[in-house]
Amino acid sequence: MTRPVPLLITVAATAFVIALMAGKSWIAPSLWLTASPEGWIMAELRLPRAILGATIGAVLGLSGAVLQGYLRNPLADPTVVGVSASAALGGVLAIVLGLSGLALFGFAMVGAAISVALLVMLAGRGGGPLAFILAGMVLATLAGSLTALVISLAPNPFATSEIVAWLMGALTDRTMDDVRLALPFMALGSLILLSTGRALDALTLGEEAARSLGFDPARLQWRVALGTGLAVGASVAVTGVVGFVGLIVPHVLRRLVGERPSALLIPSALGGAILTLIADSAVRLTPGPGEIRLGIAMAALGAPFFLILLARLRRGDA
Amino acid sequence: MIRIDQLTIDLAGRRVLDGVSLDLPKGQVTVILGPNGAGKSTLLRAMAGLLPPNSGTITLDGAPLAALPLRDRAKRIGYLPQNGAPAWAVTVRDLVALGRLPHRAPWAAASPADAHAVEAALMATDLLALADRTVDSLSGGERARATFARVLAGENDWICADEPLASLDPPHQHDVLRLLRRAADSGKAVVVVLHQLMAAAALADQIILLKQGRVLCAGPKDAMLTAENLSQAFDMPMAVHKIDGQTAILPHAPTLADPKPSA
Repeated sequence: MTRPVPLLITVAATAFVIALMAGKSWIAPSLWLTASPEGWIMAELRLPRAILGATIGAVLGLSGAVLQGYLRNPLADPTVVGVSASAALGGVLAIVLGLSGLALFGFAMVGAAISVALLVMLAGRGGGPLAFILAGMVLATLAGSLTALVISLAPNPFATSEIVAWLMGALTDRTMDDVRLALPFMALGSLILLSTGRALDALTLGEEAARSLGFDPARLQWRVALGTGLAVGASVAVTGVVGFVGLIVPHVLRRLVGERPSALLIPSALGGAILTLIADSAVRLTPGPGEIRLGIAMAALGAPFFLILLARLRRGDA
Repeated sequence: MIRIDQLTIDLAGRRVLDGVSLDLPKGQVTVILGPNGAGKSTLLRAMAGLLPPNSGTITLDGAPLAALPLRDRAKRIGYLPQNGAPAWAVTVRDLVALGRLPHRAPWAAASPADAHAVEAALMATDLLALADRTVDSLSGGERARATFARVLAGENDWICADEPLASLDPPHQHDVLRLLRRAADSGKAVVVVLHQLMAAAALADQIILLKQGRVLCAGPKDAMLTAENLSQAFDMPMAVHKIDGQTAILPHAPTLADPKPSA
């Protein structure tokens, strides 16, 4: 079996450098640290954007891998369990109330926190993965419809367009303040998610066997929900909803690293960072005055992939 | 030894086990028999610590099972569930290594002792040649051996197996029975739920006959496997024959045709 982690780290570092260089104007590394307009663009715009791209991609990939392992289903990702939608609802509420920055971030995190509490409550004490995914789907639908309601009640068309733009997910004009806000939550959430690796491995044998190997299903469920809430909640709070990374990345890498769930976690984080950095570099290079939103680009990329995945699964069954 | 005292368990409002008291010795195979719904799997899961009793106690060498921390319990009792088809196509070696999880400190890598136990389990189940294959490429019999090797790798004192012969053909059933026998001969306590009466007769030292959540009778195999006991347990006439030193147990039902309506 190959050991793809060093390779993935190399590719991620390369993608990071490309993300710093790429844009409407290419900036060579020799200008990065100079007191020039290019140096300013680098420090104030490109660097926070690249850091956010890498970290958001990483937590989306990681949480996707954890959720797929926990639910023992290759079609799961953070959007399925309602955390993204709930954080987005919080963010939308903040925009309608005219809030931004720290307050918007706080609203989105509260949305994510409420979804985590509801998720664990609805799934039931000691409830298994099936109850978890059903509760998540209910939450995602509920948060989605509430978001639509808030948009329809928005006070003016500017608020509506701001909301819609925010919801689509983008890394444009993010600052180091956003990085400082989101990073601690994403780091803590990622640590919690990484700590589930062994329990996920044990779940390969089914819930009963995992319990007989000493893993408490209620504690595992808490850790999955809390880690996803912190990491993905913070990512939505600074960038809006970016889908498909959590679905695609673990799925592609599973073939490379073997199917053991814990072996997939760190590669999925690296793969998520690579995919998001490359996608975000690509949207910046689109011709014309504006740029495609990252969330839209990812969905355009992800939907066909999802279809291929479904078709292949069906062929596998036949 | 495992001592079960007045164990009562309700599931979904139904009394599944009702005042069960038993002693299960080490170094022996105890087979739990009984009709569907008698509470066999429930009893096994309770012994493995997976179901909390409504009343009654289970003690493990004198210590109450309920007071044992999860990891300690997992180190001592290995549980082989029914239909243990792995969710992911991991390699046989990775599957077997899962049995070592209770022995490993958090975040620590596998120790030489872990690696040794995995190799020993692979060897005992004759799987060394298949160790790097993924489990989805195995035959049913090979997969049954691999999931059993996972339990062996745990080096537990107790093995609880729930219908380990399900959907295996006779030679593969024989392989699994031999592995269970060998585990007991090496000093472990082996408790098995079975539906195959003749396999039970071949494997068991002790037999527990359950019916409607109660112990109908329990004791040494030869005293328990009588036509009378079995007929009573299954509500169907049963005959016990000795053929070439093996025990054959036959339900007395000469025809499957419906009785002719009387004129």
